[in-house]
Amino acid sequence: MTMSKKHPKPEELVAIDYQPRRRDWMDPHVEFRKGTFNYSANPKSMEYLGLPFVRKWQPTEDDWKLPPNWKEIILNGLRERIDRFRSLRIFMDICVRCGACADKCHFYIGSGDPKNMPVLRAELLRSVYRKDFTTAGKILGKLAGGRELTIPVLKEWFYYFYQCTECRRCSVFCPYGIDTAEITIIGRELLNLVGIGIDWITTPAANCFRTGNHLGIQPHGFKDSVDFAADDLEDITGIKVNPSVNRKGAEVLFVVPSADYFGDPHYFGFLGYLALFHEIGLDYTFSAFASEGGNFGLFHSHEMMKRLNAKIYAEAKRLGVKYIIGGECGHMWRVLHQYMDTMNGPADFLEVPKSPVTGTVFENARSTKMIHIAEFTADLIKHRKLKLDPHRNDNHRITFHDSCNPARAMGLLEEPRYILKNVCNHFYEMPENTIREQTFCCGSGSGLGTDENLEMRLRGGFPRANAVRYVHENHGVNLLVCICAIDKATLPGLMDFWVPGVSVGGLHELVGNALVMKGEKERDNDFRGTPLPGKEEKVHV
Amino acid sequence: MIGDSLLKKKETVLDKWRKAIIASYSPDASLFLRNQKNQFANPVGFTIEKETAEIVQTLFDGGDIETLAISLDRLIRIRSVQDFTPSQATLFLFQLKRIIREETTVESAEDYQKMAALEERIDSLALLAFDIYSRCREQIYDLRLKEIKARAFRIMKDSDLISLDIKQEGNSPHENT
Amino acid sequence: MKILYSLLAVSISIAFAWVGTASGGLHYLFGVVFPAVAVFLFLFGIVYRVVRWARSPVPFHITTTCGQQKSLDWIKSSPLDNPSSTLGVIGRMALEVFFFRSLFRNTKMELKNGGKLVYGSAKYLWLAGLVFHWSFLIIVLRHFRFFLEPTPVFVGVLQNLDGFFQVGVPVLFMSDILILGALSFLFFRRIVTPQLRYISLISDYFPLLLIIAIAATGVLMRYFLKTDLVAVKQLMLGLFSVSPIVPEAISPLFYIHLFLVSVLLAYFPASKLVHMAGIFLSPTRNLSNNSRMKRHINPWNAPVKVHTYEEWEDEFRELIKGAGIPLEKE
Repeated sequence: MTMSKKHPKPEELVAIDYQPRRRDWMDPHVEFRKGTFNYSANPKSMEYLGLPFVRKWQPTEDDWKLPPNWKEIILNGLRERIDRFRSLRIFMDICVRCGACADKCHFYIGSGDPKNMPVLRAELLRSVYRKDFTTAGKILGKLAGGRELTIPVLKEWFYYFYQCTECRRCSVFCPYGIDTAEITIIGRELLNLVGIGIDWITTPAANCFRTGNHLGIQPHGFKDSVDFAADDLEDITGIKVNPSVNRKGAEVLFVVPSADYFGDPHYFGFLGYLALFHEIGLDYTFSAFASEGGNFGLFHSHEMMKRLNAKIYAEAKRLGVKYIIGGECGHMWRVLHQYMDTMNGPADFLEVPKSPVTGTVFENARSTKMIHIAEFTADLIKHRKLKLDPHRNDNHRITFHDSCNPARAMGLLEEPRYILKNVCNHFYEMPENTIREQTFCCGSGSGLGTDENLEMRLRGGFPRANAVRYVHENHGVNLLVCICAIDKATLPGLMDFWVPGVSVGGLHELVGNALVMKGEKERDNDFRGTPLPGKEEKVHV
Repeated sequence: MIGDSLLKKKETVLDKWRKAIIASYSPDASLFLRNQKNQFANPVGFTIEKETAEIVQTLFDGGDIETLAISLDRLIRIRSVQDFTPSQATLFLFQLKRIIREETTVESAEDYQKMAALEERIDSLALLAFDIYSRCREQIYDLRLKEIKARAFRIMKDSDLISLDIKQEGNSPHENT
Repeated sequence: MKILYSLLAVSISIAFAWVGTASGGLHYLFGVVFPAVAVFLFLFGIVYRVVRWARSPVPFHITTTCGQQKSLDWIKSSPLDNPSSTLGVIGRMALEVFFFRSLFRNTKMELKNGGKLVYGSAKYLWLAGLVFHWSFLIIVLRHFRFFLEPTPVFVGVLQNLDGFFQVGVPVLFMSDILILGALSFLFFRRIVTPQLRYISLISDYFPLLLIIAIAATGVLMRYFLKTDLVAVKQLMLGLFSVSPIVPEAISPLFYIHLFLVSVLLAYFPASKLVHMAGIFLSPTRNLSNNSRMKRHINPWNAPVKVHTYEEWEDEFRELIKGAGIPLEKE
């Protein structure tokens, strides 16, 4: 090249692709940039689950080593699913592209990538549907919005279907209720048919299938964790609790996400459960096999979800309990509330849940026989069955993050708020377009919470963090409370990055802190080992 | 500090600068970033609007530029996790220099000196920006590590608890290299 | 490009009808054959679509809950945004169908700096959508005076309401103004907003332009280039009684109008316009949130390979025993 007379402007130097040339969305284009995608599934895990086309490949490689008839497999899979799901068929047919959903997605808001508009995410699949399954598309092709299924299209599916957290915020605003989560679920199912999945979903699923929980903790490890927690609780409260594992004849089976007994800050909420159940004398047991309420199968396929969920009713039946209580977890509750009874019911061997303390019959779980711990605890508090000292939580100025699934798949909005208002004195809501059914996702749900994907998660979590920052700055909020294991695992990082000074906790951690137990010693510390309000000096003595 | 002619141009400079920043996003997002004024529905656009105003105000008023660290941090923090290279993420400060130059005519030696002083202050901001950018990136790597540790909060204490056959070792492509 | 194609398609339709009736003498074709075929395609297509939807199963009970669930007695639930009963679902659907409840959620008044009240652009989408759909419905109903003899009573009532302001001769119908205004807004919105232009397809522009052309030709006939209404009614009554007559002296403008309507009817079932029927079957909106109260049956609940407790116990027996956890088989 000859030297140009003029020096290039800075923009020209740094930005060869600065403002990407405007291209039609129908031309597939994906760049797998480090930090914005998930690694492929571990072959060992795929083999264990009996998944097809086990191989080593990575998204960054040109050749994904697809089976030769991959296209046929996917199109057949799509046909099958269109015949099986009215939702899919309707959602493929009736979108008018009004754009109401466009700016509702946290990934679009945080990244500005137009293919993160929910309507376009769905169009990635819809365009193929039009091409191969509608008369107009077959004849007119691109003119009718149809698009040939090619390898670049497939790569685009992979990129964007793993950039949707299935949070369903868009479906709240859609005039036809089109639910992008269901489209994403089907999209991922189709990819899995040709052996394209991500490790953060497949390996936990394999672990869960084998050992009963995502972390792959074996029975003795589970028992050890529960005992360990009981000891910790004794250190703090002076009370020895005796949780049981796999005990037959208990009244209640208690199922929690495995992160509750292993992760930080989940663990402190686990202590809260133990304290609460001991205090009210609940006759309950854990199961070392149903040691996971979470279900990464939901993020893989309907089939995998059913496979992993089966053990919950099976264990309830084997142990002969009357009903089931579920701990704090978002997607776990989506499965329990919307899928479990249909997939693995009927639970006719169980009884309609009835609180042994208050006598309240939980009619809302008449068929499924499983209640959310927030429903259970709210009922206890309402009937004044708990002695609570909210001052013990006075070090915290609290806001509540509605987790996507309890909010938009159940409508569990007031129960946790009622509990919070009874166990703490300083509670502040985030702005109304960021809570309840309009809540913003943490950006890491649906199996995207890996460290290799952190940059994308920080983008997607920015709208949530931004609302937290608002209450942090205006009300001095320093604790973000949530009822979801994925939230608890990923919001701390999000807060560190966007709103330093705000930590993350669980609802029952605060319940446990506030709960005045019969015969407890004078507590100096909260469950995290930090001094309670007014006890700061004592500790140093 | 700066000449009256430039002070009058403050709004124009600000407007052009914001447009330049927003132009670094896909054109299909630009209208949303510019027009959706709700702080919570459009945090990126809101941050750009708020913090650029802060920066231009302080620059033109001759305020202490070290007070701009927070504004700069908020702008760069967002760009540090979006699809930008380090140079693309910090380019906007150099664009500000050019926009100011385009909006002013230097007529006297005094003008020239004022201009040079202002540009020097923007240069300092740019240096600060590099620091902030690399701090953000560093933090991302720290967070990755921290998350892995928190996830295995209890495992750290008792390592034989995990099933060895299908351990969550990840499936990093770097294993091959 | 996509807009151009759509414009072209509408223009060709207009030209086709113009040439066919003004100089081709194909009145029977445009006045009887095309409308009859179109009505048939419309009815057949809609029924076909709805039957296909209705026949595909609803395997899971997936609703979108937009309010508090019905759980404990003392917690106030949202019967319309999160219905747990059939009555609630009917209410929710009614709000959705008649008032576009979900789109309305978009809209929020905001206080901008200086306390100025600002409306998000999304508000206009809701408003324009609502105005367009309601005007369209009123106009369709008003047209029944051409289809039925004697003219049904509701048509008279509607006409009086629609022409309430008694402006001009013939009386100006509000719906005519409103539909053209709303359609223009919806069309320009697609062109002006970059993100909407990005997502829009030919099948988004075409129906908008087609309906604009239908409304415009209708307005032209009513207010500016008068058409022999008696003849028109004769033609329409003939069509509806399946004994078609083609009266002389109907202007080509009418045939253009009629042909465009025929195109719309024929196109309708094959396009996104079927949302008119589809919304009623959308599972996230038409199911009540009672999935824990009442078991939902999946007709194809396929069996899957599960890991049983026995297999689990067999694999980990020694560890279970060692940890003091009860076993089924020692």
